[in-house]
Amino acid sequence: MVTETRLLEVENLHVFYEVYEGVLKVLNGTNLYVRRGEKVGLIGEAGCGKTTMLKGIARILPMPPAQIGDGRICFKGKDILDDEKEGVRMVRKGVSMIFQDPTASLNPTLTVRTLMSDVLKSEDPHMPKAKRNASMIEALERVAMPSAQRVLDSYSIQLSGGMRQRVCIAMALLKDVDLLLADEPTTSLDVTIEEQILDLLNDLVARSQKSMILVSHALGSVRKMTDRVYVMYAGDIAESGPTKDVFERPLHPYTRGLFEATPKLTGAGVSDGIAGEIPSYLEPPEGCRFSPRCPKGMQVCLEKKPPIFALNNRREVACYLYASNVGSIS
Amino acid sequence: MLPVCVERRKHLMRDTNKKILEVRDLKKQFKTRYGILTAVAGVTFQINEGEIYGIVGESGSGKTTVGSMITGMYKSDGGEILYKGQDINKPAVQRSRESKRAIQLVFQDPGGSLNPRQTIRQILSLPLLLHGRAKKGPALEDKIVQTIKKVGLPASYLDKYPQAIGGGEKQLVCIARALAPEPSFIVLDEPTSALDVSIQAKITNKLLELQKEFKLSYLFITHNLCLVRNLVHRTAIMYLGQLCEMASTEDFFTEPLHPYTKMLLSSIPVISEAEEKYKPITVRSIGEIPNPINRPTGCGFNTRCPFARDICKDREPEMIEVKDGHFVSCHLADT
Repeated sequence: MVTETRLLEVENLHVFYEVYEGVLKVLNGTNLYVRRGEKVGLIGEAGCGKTTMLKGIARILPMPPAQIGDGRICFKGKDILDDEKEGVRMVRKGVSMIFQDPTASLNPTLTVRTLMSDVLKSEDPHMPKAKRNASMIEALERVAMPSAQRVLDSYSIQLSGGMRQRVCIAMALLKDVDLLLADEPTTSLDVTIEEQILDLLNDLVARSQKSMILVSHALGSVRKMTDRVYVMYAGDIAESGPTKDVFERPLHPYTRGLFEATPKLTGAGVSDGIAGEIPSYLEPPEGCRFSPRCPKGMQVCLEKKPPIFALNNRREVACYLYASNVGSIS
Repeated sequence: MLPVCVERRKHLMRDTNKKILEVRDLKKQFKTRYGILTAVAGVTFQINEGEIYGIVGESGSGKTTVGSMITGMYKSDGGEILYKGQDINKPAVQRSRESKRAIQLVFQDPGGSLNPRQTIRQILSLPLLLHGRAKKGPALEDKIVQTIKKVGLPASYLDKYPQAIGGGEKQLVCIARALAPEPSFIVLDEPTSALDVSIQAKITNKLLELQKEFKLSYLFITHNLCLVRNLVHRTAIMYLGQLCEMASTEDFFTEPLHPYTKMLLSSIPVISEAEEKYKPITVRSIGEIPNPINRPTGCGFNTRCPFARDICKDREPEMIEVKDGHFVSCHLADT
């Protein structure tokens, strides 16, 4: 059930990285919100700032080199950037994250039992051992792990890729969090395992009424999983709207190019993709960051960053092509 | 359900088109600390001239190992590899110069397969010199420029280093390098899976264009079924070192027979309603690919197969031709 209360609201967020060559202006005034019980997708190609966004929300950006400039991240109505300590505490309590590569995110020198009980200890250091064990087993069984008892005493390297990701999901759901951040949870897995993991995530999130942000460059899995979707390009949100609507009627030229370039089961070949490559963050284009590659670029696109035009049915698009269509699509 | 009229022929021995590559009962085992790992357990297929042949499989299915044996990077443990009727089942050093020139390879990760300390000119000149396409001097320079123009990159790129160009362009350089000795057959080992969708499309179309222009044959190794649909003429599905099903791409998508093929097809996440119609069969995915050190007895897929019967655990199914050019290795299709 999606309610109208906004669990998370990111407003005008700027994140930049200070590196040897200069300043990488990655997030450039990004807006995003997640309502309670909602599954939100974030689509974009490699290097478009999706992971920076998630890490910013989870407050795990490596700072330095990263720095958060302007902007607000409101979680449960409180700005978590306002008070450093309190903000981080709130996020640790209410948000958990699943990473892309389960192999890299599980310490290979610790057993699954140690890894999982650390999570529980952080919540309540005095929890009795028996209770801790019971809740670990329960968490593993929730993710449909075969022989949970055995897995608990294994090291991550003894498990297969799919099982490792199941452990990561079980760990993320050990605590009663409000928001689950999934950063390409199935990219490193095979397609049949991917289906299992996505079905599992969908089920768990729906059953426990959590909210989720699913980040992926696999368009198909976002379409299958989410209620609303954001399309990101070079640190900017290009467009957003209800998933079904966006996939049926993409508006932004980037989204259109992306969908056309995706090979489809219907055959009929693929388009030639989008000319050019993602711009450098050292000197991103002045106006719309997509303008150098845009087939419909206009003079104004080169000069001024497009604002977000709100159309009806929760559709929003940051493109001057739709300047006259505010409030409607046609 | 399954076609009843199963035509039993001595399998895979048809001779319709001119074959460029024939692989018969190819095997490969690796010795590991934990025992013998059977990566490829008897694979038979043929590729016709001018054909794009796809091998699809999950990680660990042995598809890359097959490609490596064809190009001579691995020595096989049994079976035959024939290039235009000539036996080339030996390591690359012992192969004839001609067959080495004719079979080229493009790797998955373009960043890792280009030497960062060489300019693109150096990268492209080596295969030209090695295979005697040109002698040092202005003739070589001409050839290099010709080669890079084949893939649509400007000659100004020749003095750049790989790290100065984008991922898609790097892969184009890899393709140019493979094209340099004027091969007739290229093994493409997941050439687009490390690239973004918008760039992947460009590479895919370029590969198609080159195939038509130079009448090349490809062995396209991939795990992306959507790409197979758009690119490949005939497809083979590989699971645990063996082929489960071989068919023309059209047959394969309209009438999949092997339960594993059905499972694969029904688990593809697609991006439009129109595509959902192309996944008529729902076989829910269960379990994971077994360890190739500890292969299950009988059919390799029986541990995950929702239709498995007793015979599947006891006896390995044979590859049979169900329909013209449509082969499947499954006990269910046998009856």
